[in-house]
Amino acid sequence: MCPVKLAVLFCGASAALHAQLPAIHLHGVVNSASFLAPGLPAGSIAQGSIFTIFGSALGPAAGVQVSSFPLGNTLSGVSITVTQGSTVVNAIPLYVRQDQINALMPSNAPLGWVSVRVTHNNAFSNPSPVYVVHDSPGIYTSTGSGGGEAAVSNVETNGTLTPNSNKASAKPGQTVQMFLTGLGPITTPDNQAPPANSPTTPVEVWVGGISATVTYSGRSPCCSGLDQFDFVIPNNAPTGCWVPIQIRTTKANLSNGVSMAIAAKGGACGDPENPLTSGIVNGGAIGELWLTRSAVHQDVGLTNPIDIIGDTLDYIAQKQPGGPFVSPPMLAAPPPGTCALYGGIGDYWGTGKLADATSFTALDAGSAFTVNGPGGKQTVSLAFNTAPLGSQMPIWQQPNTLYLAPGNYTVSGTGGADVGGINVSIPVAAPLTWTNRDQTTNVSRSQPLTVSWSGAPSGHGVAILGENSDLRTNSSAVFYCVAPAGATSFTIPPQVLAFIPPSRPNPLDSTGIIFVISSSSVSLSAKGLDVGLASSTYKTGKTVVFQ
Amino acid sequence: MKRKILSVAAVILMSSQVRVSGADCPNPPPPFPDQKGSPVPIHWNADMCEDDLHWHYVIINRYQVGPFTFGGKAADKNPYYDQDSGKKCCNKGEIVFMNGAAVKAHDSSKSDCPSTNESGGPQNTANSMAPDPPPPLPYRTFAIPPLTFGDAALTFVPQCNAAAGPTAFHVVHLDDVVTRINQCTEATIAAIKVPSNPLEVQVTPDAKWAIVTSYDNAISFIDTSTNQVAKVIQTDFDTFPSGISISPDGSFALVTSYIDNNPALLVIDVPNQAIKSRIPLPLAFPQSVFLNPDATLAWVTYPFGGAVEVVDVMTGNINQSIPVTQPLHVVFNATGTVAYISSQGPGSVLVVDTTTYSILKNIPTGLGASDLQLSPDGGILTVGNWQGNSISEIDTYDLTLIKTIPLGGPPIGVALVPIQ
Repeated sequence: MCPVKLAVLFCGASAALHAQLPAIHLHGVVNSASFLAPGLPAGSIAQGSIFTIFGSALGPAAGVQVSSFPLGNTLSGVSITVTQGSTVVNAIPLYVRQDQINALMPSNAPLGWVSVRVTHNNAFSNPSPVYVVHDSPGIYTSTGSGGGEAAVSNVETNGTLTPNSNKASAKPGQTVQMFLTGLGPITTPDNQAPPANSPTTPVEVWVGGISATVTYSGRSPCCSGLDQFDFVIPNNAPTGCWVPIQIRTTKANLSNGVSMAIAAKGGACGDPENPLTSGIVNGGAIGELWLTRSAVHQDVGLTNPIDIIGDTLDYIAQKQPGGPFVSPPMLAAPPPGTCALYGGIGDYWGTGKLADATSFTALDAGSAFTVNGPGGKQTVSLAFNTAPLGSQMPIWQQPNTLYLAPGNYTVSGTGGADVGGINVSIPVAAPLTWTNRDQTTNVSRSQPLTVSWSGAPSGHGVAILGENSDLRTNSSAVFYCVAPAGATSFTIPPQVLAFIPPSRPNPLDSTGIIFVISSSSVSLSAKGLDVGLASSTYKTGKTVVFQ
Repeated sequence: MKRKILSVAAVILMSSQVRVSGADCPNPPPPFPDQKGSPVPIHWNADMCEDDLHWHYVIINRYQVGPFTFGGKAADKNPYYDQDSGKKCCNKGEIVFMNGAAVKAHDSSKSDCPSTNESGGPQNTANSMAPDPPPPLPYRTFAIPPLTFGDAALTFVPQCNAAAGPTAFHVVHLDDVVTRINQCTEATIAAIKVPSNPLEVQVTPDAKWAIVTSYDNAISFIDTSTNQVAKVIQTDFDTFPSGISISPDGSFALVTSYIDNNPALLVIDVPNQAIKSRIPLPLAFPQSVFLNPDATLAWVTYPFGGAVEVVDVMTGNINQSIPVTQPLHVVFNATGTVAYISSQGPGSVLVVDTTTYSILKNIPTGLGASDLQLSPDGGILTVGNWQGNSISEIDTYDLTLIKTIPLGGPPIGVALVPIQ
């Protein structure tokens, strides 16, 4: 049995069984490790890889998993065909359940667009289009979400394996073992236990942006379609609880973005730059309040560029569960100098949400707040955790003037059922200037992108966030880079940019945008909060075309 | 928070009639699609049947709009008019005049026609009793260059800049012409003759070609740089091009063949301007086709069949058949996760979850719900209710009817344009 496959099975169980006939969901065929949306650069299915089909009535109510070789083309009445023109091959079912199938894409599956179809008890599903490639790696994760903490084991000096976690970090120089799928086809039968050291697809790995030495790459002899990947943590790798890990095959095909814990001496990890780390790792009530000015220069697809500037108060309180593998998106920030990647189904710029396997609980911290500052006093009510404070134009029912001028502000709130009232002073500094903003329109995904700024207030951290949604395939990807303290520029490496889907010719089909974000925080205290931050944040953004 | 459009104006396009050939007598002609794929009712009677020499106009509605308002009076319900003279005709013995000369008299000896149907049996009244569909209209006007409304939530920039020359194409069905108009000034830039009975036009994503379907067995390619037909694909005699949808990458287009015998989707190789393949369809009279945003699924409307069928483009398999009373138009949200279908008969819009094909909501709008137009930010769906003489606005975030706006006449085609 392949242990990592169990993690995969935790996800995608949301579909209800509405119909008698098997049905594959729209865009419901994905890499079983990354679950990345088919519209993303890493969203194709590799020959010889394990892929997942989400749908309804696809199999028996209770999951059934293969247990021995040779594997068959049918499992509990479920079979899968892969068709291209007159070529038909069978995918090998590994796990079947009414709402999910994990199967092996045969090594001889035709490349290019194919049609995948499920048969369950002689009933056919709809065909679903799938793009098959030679290799497209997906890294399994500890939470089975396709993101966050990778399914990595630290190889100890005695050869034993320790699952990497925020309690058991890897050390620089230590070898680690990781599992993935999608390295490519093999020449031996797929229904038999695969040989080691095959396939020989070239693989690169970056640990916090630092290239690492690969010591093994190929099938895990245990399991069809499951690849094992061993590498050495670079001595100069950044440390932290969520150090980004990225893999690229054949110099072209990127994996999903995952992370692992690295500490100088192993053991529990730490992130000195992230005051929330302890609350995330150990679990607890976390509160975050922001006074934010967002200034977005929109010029892509517009005859006349326009600047949208708005001021908001945002406040979120949540109970983090803690645990060895927790990795809530964005909260689990990467170490300075590195970039985290998120991708998945949905329009992140619209209604989509980052996939999050960490089941936090939202806390009621109240909605009535008073903000007092140089521009006067405002009493606001939060809706969906936000309240407008000002705007330079009459939209979104915001006040038609800007509010957050530099100065000292006091925010007070009455609190809610879970979190008590607050009263915090927040200094708002003059905003930085994104100096090469107007030169950043067409962003090559194959070249480094340097973002420069000046006037960052002392003590402010700077991050760069880029996003693009490919609306036609309902898929999105985000990079989130944290600049080192005191930096005035940051270069985003091409392997990060290549994770972002390219923009389509019609500007209405994509949402490409980059933000430079500066922020400084003070402590936020309230009854019911274990840790809290109150921040002044300035986000300067620009629409871009990812090429 | 809801996204709001700053300002839009609904442009209501109106038209009046369609012509029906009587050349198929004694078998009744098929329901004839108009430019938007709306069927002309089979008001099958002797007048249409016995006269196989010339065409009749059929005025579908009791209103007068456009250049074809006969005598300046509101027309009777579904009367027939002589194509050439424009006079109401076909009472037995009536003589039809054209330019002052008698053209043809009604032949009272052919009295068998009213009592026969396609199978030679008694005339089924179902068709003649069917609710009136929308009249033909200039439909599917597509802008060149594509609208440039920005990418995200916040902005909707007025920019109807006549100097920039944004243009649109629309079919003038009765004249066998496709016109190109300036979107801002509404001035006609060109009137392009196309094969007879043109129905729909759509512009390729690169804006180089406008592809026109003609019911009379033709698909035309208009070179937008010259405003001339550069290529005509002549289809088989039993293929009747009607609806068209072009893939977002411009590599292929789908065209419905609106017929009861061997209905199909034609797959058009757009770069090579040729029919690449043919996908058989199971139901008769597929009228219009709408590709989902990633062009993997084709949603085909069957107003007479009471269904929308979802066709897998790669295999031609039917993924799903969705029962809808008189479906006319389908639009998708930008990500393709939700489809909106106008249902003419009850006058409503069905909201469909495209993952499960479940109906999320059926929103009554007004009689004759037909044309759908989604705002660039996806927040507001505008519905033309041609029988209800109104348009409705739906909030797509909470799926509620915002308001219904009465109009002076039936809206036939709805377009959103920025205010200058």
